Amino acid sequence: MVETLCACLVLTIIFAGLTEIVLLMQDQIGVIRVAREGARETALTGSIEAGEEKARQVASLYLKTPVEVTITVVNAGDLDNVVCNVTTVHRPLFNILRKGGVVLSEEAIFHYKDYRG
Amino acid sequence: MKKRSFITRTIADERGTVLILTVFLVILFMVLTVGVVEYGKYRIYNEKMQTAADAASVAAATSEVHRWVRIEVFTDRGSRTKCDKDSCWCEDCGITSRITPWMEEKYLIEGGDWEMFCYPPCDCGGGDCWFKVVDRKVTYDITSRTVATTPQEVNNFKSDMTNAMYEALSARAYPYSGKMQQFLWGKSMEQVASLLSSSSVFVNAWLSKFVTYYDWRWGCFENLECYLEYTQAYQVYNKLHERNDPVEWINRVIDSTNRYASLLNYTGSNITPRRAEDTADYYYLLNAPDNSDISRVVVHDKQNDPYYPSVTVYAIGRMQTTMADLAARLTGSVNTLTSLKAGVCSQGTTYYRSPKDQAGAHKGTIRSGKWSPKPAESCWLD
Repeated sequence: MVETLCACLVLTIIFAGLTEIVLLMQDQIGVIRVAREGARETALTGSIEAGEEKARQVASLYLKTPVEVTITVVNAGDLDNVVCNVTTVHRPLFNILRKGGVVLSEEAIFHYKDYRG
Repeated sequence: MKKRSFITRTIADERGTVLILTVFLVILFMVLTVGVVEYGKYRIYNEKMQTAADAASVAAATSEVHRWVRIEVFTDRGSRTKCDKDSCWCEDCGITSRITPWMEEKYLIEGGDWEMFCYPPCDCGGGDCWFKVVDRKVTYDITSRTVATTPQEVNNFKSDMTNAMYEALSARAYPYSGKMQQFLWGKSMEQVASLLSSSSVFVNAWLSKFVTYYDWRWGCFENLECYLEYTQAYQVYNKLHERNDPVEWINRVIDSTNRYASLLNYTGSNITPRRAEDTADYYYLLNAPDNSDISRVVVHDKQNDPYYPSVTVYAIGRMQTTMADLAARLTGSVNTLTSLKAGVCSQGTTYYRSPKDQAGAHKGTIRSGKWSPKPAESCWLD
């Protein structure tokens, strides 16, 4: 009985770890998508506001935690780039203290063209 | 009592069963964990490649794009002088139009080059110029320089402009229009501009043309024929300068024809850099994960292409699995069998305003009109 309990405990911990890894990777994929869509929208519309709005929309689809989206236009020689930085904190599933977490961030760099000119 | 055999005893003995089961399940979970981690890593790798491919296709479809437009330039040439024996009046000389060759929109419309296709106004003032959009297309640098004009078109343009100019000058010289036409015959616009720049140059040229004997040393005051021509020449010169400076006017037309002729330099060049691909490469590398690269860039820049106008980027990559990483660290060599192959595709679309929505007269940059319809999905089909 005791050994079964111990074994179950070990297996539960491993299973929880496995689940955590899956959720962490899902969040990482979500962050990559948010960065991509934010940068892409900015590149296509020429509007940073539109890019941020798109990034938030995509974030609401894939991520449960709040995201921080920063879109900037950077001059790189004869080209202008739009850099979309997305950061979120992945909260572990069994986070009893409701504190801490894994910081996930991603950056996407697209070509920027100002269509308003 | 009969003694049980070893096998029967082992089967019947339940001690240690949990341990065996636990070990089995732990191993199973470990394998599952490795599988899940590798799959997750692969998905992340794929997403990063997708980001890189999207950046590449969007950049290729927007950064090096050339927007070409063909317009019809209309000139209301104002009115020309008409005279009878008693009086002179101005009469409408109609509207002329000319369809331009394919030219880049940023120069032709936004830069104001379309004005060079305006005909010179007739002699009696007035004149207005505007354009209508005939057609529009986009190209990427791969083919852009093959689109321009031909020497024949340039010659036609020059000849039309010269004739329109001479017609206006002759009408302005009334009642010596016929002689003015004779005077201008065979002369280039540059020569005419130079002759009209000063009265003495013009009068001497006129006398050389129309007086049979003319001695430069003595002038022509002792020769009646010469004297009459001399007087006429001054009258014509004054008439030509009556309303405004004709030299400035001619120079504007010369400038137009020269700028048009300079388009010829665009043609026949085979050293065009493949910029769409270069740009795609640049943006792919800015975002790409390790061991991945662009495998193919397809530029759809032909108007009859269902995927026009867009650029499709294909990329392939090999993600090193954790096992491969471990093996590489231990053996120092990379085993390609333990890496996972990934492939992505992205289509970047170029938008341009549809000419159908831009009917009507324009005099500058056009911001109205819907964007062109989106091309068909090209990924994995081209």
